[in-house]
Amino acid sequence: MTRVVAELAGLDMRFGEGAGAVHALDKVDLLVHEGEVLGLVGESGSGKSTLGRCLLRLLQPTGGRVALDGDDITDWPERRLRKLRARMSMVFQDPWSALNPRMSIRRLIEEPLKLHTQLGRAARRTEAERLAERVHLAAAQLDRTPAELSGGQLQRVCIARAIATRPSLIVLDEPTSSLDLSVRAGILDLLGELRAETAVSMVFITHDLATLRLIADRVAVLYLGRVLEEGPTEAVMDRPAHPYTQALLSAHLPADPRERPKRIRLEGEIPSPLDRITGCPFQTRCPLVEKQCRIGRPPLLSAGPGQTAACVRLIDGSNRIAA
Amino acid sequence: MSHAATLPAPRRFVLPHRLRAWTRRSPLAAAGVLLLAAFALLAVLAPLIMPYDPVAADAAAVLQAPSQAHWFGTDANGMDVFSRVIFGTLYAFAIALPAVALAILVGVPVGLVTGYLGGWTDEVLMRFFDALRVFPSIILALAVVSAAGASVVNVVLVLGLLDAPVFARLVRSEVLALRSGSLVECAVATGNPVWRILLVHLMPNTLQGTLAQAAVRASWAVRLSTTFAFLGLGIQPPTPEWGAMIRQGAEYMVTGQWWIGVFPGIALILLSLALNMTGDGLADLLDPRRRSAG
Repeated sequence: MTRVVAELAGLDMRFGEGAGAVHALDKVDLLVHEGEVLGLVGESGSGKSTLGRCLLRLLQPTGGRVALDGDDITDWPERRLRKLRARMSMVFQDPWSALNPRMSIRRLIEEPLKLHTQLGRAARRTEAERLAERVHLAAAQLDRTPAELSGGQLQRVCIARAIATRPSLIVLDEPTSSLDLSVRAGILDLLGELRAETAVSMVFITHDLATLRLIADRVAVLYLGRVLEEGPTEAVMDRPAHPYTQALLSAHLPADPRERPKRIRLEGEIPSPLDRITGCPFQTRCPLVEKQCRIGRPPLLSAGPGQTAACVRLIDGSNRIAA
Repeated sequence: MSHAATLPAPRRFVLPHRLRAWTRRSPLAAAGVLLLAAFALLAVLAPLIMPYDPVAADAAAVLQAPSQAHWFGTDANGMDVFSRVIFGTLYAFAIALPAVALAILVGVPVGLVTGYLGGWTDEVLMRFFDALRVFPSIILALAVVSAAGASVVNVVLVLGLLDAPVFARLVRSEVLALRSGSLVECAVATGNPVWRILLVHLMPNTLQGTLAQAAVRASWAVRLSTTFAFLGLGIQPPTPEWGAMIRQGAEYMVTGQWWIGVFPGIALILLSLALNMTGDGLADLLDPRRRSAG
């Protein structure tokens, strides 16, 4: 197995205290390997963005450990983390609000270099031009302001900033969901190129399964702050083991319009994140729910090579929802 | 005429592109800026263009109506009202500008820090400012000026400190709006130290509101400082200050010598109008998100 770049162990994140506390992440274990693209998928409120922010220590988790390149950074103060931020970066969902509207594109791309490298003014300038070219931005756009660029171009600026210091980890929080469909493919192509050229690891957060199939090596499925299934993209997409993953995938239309979509309709309500769940978090909607699901937290069980799922019915192979 | 075509076209004064677009979009604001520029010029050139010494009494020319010799007439001391109105512009600027500068110097950092940090720092400072705002500003300013002594410096200090909460609130609300987007989070994720987030990422983005507000508050400061003088606080007659002149003129209103008070009054209205129109225009011009549309 390749080197582990980032590690989450028993990660817990609660917002607020007492009865009003929201349990956003519930004992999450996750590994990010060198050079891989890990897709994090889940509905809104599943904790996927919180997970990304804990990974980069933009949030201080309430429990568990976060490690980057072997350093336990769980309790590092922001002052110490600041230097580390050269080794990890983030691309946000909304590039319009993430980029300072008063800075030129050139200054925006130069910013991480200015903060983290010893490069002089001229060297930074050359490097910014190289980065712009790398993300397929025209040199003429360097002297514009964010208001003069399109969403897709702005997201390229964000990616140029994210790769500027050659980090080992980039977290991309729904980087394409605010963009037009036509622009999306270009951004995904660019990320694919970067993955092929460098050893950078990416955590790609999305609710769009089709995007994941294009870009991710591995997928982790989040539901109410827990990882329900994890494994190689192909395996999870083609042979989903957890009933939730099966339902999630069935919600997507098949590529062939003649094929009849076999949709699994879910009944029941998503529990409020305010509730303390005993047993499987999917029990309220799972068509295969049984007594055991309500008792203990289902352990992650092997569901194939490199694939695990947190479903007790995996034991006797009764985890498939009949379509 | 056949040779008429060969004549060079008259050179026309062409405004730079963006300024021209802005002038077209908000002609009122452009008029405000023009008027303000005229006042500023008047203040700077006052000693050169005043036809008379503004404080030279002339017993032979007391309470004269506007004429060729005295365009705005003369007051009870025989001083030329026109010269006094022009010189008064200097006083208006000399009080309003430092007062607003002080308000910005105090208010903007407070707004930045409280908006960014939140928590108890925010609570304490904002409640203190709320408490200040409960009092009508004129009464509060009057109380402070009459207690501390009515010097020009005190008037500037009172006006500036009294107005600081306006800028603090404005900047704080803009910082909160920026925080709700990903600007701050992105700056942190890039590894910006706190001072850089405040000064490079937040402050410049609150500048537009601050500048626009500065013009509007300068108008307030001009009016309040003349009010002080009108009420006999601060600058005393025969100093050529508009408020003091209006006070003096008010006494002669009933006896028909209207020019003593009316001309400085008009000057006051025009300057405060110019500042307000400029403020509105600046708010429009400085919005970076509108640049592409301009």
